[in-house]
Amino acid sequence: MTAALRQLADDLRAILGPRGVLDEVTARVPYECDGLAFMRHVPDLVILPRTTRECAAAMKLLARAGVPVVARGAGTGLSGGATPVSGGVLVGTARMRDVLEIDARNRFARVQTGVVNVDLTHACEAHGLYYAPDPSSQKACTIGGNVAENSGGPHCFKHGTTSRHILGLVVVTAEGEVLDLSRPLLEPQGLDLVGLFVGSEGTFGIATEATIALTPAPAVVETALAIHLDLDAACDAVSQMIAERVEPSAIEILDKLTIEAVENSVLAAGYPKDAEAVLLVEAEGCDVEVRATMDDVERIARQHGAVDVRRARDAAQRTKLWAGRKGAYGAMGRVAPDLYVSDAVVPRHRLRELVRAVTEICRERHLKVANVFHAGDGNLHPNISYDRRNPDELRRVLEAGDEIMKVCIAAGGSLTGEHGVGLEKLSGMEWLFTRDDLAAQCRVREAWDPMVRMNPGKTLPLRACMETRTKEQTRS
Amino acid sequence: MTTRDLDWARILDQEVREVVLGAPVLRPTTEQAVADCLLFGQQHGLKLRAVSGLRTPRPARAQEARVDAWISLEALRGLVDWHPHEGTVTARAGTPLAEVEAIAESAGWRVLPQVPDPLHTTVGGMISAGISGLERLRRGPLRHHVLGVRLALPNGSVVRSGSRLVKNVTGYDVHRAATGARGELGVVVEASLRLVPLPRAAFRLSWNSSSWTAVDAAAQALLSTSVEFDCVRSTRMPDGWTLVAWYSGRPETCAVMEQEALRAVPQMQSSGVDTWDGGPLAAAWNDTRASEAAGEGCLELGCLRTECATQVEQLLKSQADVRLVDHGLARIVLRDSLHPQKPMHPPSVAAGSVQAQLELRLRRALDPHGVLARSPAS
Repeated sequence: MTAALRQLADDLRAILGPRGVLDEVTARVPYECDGLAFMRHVPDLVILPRTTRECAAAMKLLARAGVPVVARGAGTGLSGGATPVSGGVLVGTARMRDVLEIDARNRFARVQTGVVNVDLTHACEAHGLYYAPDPSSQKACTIGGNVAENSGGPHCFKHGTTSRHILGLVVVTAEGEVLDLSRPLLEPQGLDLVGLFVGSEGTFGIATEATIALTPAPAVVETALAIHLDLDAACDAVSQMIAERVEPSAIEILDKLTIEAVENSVLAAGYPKDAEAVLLVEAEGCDVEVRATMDDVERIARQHGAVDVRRARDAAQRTKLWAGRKGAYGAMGRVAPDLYVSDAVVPRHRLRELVRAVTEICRERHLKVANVFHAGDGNLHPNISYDRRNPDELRRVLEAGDEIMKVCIAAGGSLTGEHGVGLEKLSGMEWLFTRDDLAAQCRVREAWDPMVRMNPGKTLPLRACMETRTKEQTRS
Repeated sequence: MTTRDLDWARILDQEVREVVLGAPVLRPTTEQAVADCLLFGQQHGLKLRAVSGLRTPRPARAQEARVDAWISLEALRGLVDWHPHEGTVTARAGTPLAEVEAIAESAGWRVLPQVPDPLHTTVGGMISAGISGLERLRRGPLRHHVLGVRLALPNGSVVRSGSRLVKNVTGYDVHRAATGARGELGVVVEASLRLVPLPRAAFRLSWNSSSWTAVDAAAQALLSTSVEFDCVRSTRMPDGWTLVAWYSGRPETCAVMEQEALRAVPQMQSSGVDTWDGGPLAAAWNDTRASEAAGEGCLELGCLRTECATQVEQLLKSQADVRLVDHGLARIVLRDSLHPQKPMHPPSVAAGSVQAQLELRLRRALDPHGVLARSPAS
């Protein structure tokens, strides 16, 4: 550790206290990556502020020092968004876990952004309210991470992704100023800075507090498991549900490899092992509405070859069905030591064709791919099992990831539906966007962070931005 | 014809034939021509303003700031991408919403937001103005339904933000910031919108009362039920208030919801549950849509739901011209023509604040010379 870094650590300790600064290498190593495990870099320092004020004071110091800053929630992200590739200081929100206010009558909560997603629901369920976005990692991921990535989850089919539920934010800027946008108004006063900030992947600033819309818990919830002997047919069933404008709250598909992994794990949910795919569909609302919606779901599933449709209203049965889905990534650990979770979005009327294309891309490269995805939103998650100690296999995995992105873009799709661009999809940004598009985004980023110190090397390919900037200067 | 008009004619490949409020009306026929006009404006220090072309610009607009030319988007019209089974639509900015609604409804979809005057409101105008629709209580604000836009910028480029898909987090959501930015971050030349299912059936509850307190109490009683209303709003009439609540959905669900609502507020009259087939119920829906008194000449106040009743009472005591209250949204609309200086009007972002500085940097990032700026500060 250099003398300058040691001095910086001491100065930060004066603001944050001894527990707020981690400078020993053994304490910093756990922060070297997020869920994208094949890209790692140990941060130079880790700081853990407790309040917005502490965070702002620390950020002022870091601005003066001119060091890169990377924010991190629980590190459950899957695109490398919290990996400090340029070194610098990692700001963790692990000690910012207070629920500051629950206003049940106005249906919102104010929380520090280190609050775990599911803990917010636990905090407000006594009022008959809950927080709707439910990423698979919701037992660990934080509200701050959800804000950074604009996280989704199965029930975002009905309820929308994180951005729909964030009413306000308190943001500490790159310079250490506090931008208070926390008042829970429906329309922004001025530009919609909150809407712009959500999903900015930590490149605009650090959200330290969030004002969040809470959703009334539904009176009745029913979950259906439709069992298909053909993945294509399951995809077609989903496309028809969209075409017929059926409105359940979640429409998920799990394929055979996923089913086997789940059923061979402690999360066994009772999915039939001989199925090629299962559709997991949930509806919520009043009794008559749920029944009618699920009748439509069952009819369409059977039209597309479902051999059985099991329906559950009992909470324990439903929890078991969902535990299998939400634990699917963990269960894939039985197949291989590492898992590459891809994330792409495609038009919903082309599901069958694109799921096939993804499978073929992996098959050609002799890779094991499992599909477990938010079919109702067209949000594919091809999960490729591999061993990162095998360089050739890792190369084939990355090559397949790129091909998947290209196929989805060619079909009118997009790079990421909920995991973010991070490090993983940087190259894809130049396939999806023109240089003019990227230049405009670069300028927006620099409006927030002129020195580009916040999470450098993420989200936007800076090479493309610099080339465009030169071109633009020539033009004007 | 002035020298400047000849410049415009060269850029647009057509003569400028119309002048409104002393400024020429430019009618570009492609999105690149819009960007070319903006670039010319940037190079010559001009102030330009995009308009839908469906309405003549009002004097009030010209008084806000200097306008050297109007860019009418009337010629940028038509659908760009439409698949009846996808639940999204992409249209050019000058397309009237009535056209988009007609094609979407023919396939069973509804366009959101349900603006008050779809015949005279364009896709681009709705987004730039951030117009609220009737169903925001149930379906969320406009920015949730704008999936992506193409923006013409004063540097002569046309850039995209977002996508045509219902879910996407790739890149920054500049389209969210552009929604309601009144054209100051660029001219929206194309937009993709999320669609929702056209209701199969609906019912409407209504009640007239001379008492604001009674109307608010009834509205709160409706909102405390489990019914997910499309809207619960009161409109001020010469002799009091008319409270209207809409619910739409499956016929069997509507019947259950109607019973629950009437149990909570028995004094309300129901239209009865009817199918949504373009008949009387659809006509009544359009009447409620048209009752929206927002837009130029009106102010909107947002507050917490629990503060709404008191806020309205204070406004009424101060003789403010309250026109409409969206109870579920805690949104109050008042005409500002009589009392433009009332302190309860929403304060603008405090000059010099962190927020104001950031907004200024964002505007300058996309429009460094203020071609589209509406005030000298921006």
